[in-house]
Amino acid sequence: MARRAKYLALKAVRLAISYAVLIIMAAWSVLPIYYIIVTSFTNVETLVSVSISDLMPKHITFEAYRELLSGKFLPTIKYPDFPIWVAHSLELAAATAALSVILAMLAGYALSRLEAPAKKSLATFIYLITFLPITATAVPLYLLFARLHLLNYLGLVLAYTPGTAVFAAFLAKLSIDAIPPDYEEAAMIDGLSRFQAFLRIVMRMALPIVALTALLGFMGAYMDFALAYAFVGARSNLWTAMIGLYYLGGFINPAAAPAYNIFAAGSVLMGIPLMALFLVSQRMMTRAYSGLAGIK
Amino acid sequence: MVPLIVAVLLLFLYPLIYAIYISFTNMNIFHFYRFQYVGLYQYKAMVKYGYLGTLTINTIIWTLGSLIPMMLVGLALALILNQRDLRGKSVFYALLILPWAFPGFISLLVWWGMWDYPYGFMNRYLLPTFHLPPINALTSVPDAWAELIVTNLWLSFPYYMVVFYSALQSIPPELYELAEVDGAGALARFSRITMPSLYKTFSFVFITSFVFTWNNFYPIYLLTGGGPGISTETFIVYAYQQAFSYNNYAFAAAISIVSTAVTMALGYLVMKYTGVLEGIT
Repeated sequence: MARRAKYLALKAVRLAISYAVLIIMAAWSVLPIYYIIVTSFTNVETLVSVSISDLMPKHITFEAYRELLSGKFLPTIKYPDFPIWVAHSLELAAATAALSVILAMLAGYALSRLEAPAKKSLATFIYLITFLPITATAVPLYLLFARLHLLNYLGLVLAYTPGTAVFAAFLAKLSIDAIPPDYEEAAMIDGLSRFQAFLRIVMRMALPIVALTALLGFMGAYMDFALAYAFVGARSNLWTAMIGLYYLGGFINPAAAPAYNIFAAGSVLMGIPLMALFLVSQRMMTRAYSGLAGIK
Repeated sequence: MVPLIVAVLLLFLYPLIYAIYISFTNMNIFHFYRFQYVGLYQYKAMVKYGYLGTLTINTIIWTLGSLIPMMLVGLALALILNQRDLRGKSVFYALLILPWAFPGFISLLVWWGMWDYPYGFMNRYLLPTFHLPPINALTSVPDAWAELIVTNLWLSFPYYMVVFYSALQSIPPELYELAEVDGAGALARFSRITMPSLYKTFSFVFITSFVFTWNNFYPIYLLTGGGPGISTETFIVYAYQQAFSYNNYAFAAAISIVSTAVTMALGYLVMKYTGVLEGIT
């Protein structure tokens, strides 16, 4: 009996500590996100005026969202700035997603179906490249693109694409490996060209990887700040959503930035959908990996 | 195949070679079109004025200082969640991965406001509640490191928790049952079954995360900007600022090259010891 009592006491202590740690960590995890969501529904003008009572607001106001969506902050843009920034980011992200899919699928197909020389050393080389720090490529790309008049959205898309495509090409290769070549051969006997067979059969059967590549390319471009700021930061009529948030957060000029609750509203409007996309991409990635693990 | 090779060559290899080339010139805002070869001048300047030493030490403080707490917290939470008699797992799990899921760039903008001295939320409410001293990253170097490491812990612990949790889940429960029948205590089960099973995951995560943290740009760039002075500058942040804030392109390239050499060596080690490419080719 004494032993059983001791076991139960230990178990109670263990679970109590576990719950205490989990509750503290969960509260800490939620705190900044909760803070910014709540701030977006208040009239808080600056950081100084955020008070502890704002964390339990009595009045909810959508004023910050109204100002965010209709406010004109910069003299260089004639229309409300925030929607323009988002439109710019969407353009960049969509173009990057499309180009990444094309590049990754073609390369994945070639890696899987065609006999390429030095496949292994190419793979090794491409893998090593993913270890490059962004400045190792950002500085020379900036200098190169400055001379080619590519310090614009075209240049940004060209710079974003390989990052996603290189990674996705390998996922594509693995998933194309799983598609029997007989399908395309049969289609080619029926009169399709290799490219048509690729489009109608391989692309369709590898659709999960196509979707994942598009999503990764989209998010990579949408969430980039470092390259966009280096390329177009000086021209405020070309700002993207992330540069816009940087400005709203008071990083460029704290004194001239709009009210803090507007920044909060922008963070929520951008953060929540991107968080949802991230969770979707994680699920797709797990599924892709577990699907591929079965093949190997 | 060909388009990928062309893209890789043009957008990775060419820049890298061009960066090496620029690092041997005096290219900056005054010599943008007419720059000349200056040999090892930039590298010598880096050593002579102490930048190399400072940046190396800072980057190591940043990398290990972030990585060790992140991995320990992640492991602890994974072990806690892995207890069979714990309830409400999925609720805690969903809340704990929020910092990872919320876009890191936006989180950092929010954290910057929260750390503001003396008006930010942390300094006005949270730290005084726990009787902790305020954090002033503008003047105090230890405070700046504390701010960076705590924020980076918030951003990254969920990743380690998720990875370690799934590794723990893949250990067959029969192992534990057999050990219990054989009379192994909780400590013996942990050190003989749990730790050895995690070893491979642990080393893989450590090396890849080491490179990732070494190259992690946004936390330092946004929170302290490398300050006070250059005391929290890492290679990547300093190179970016030298290039795009001060237009010292040649010096920025030289710093990048040093950092790249280190990360490439680490990347090679990862491949050699983890066999990550075996499944791919």
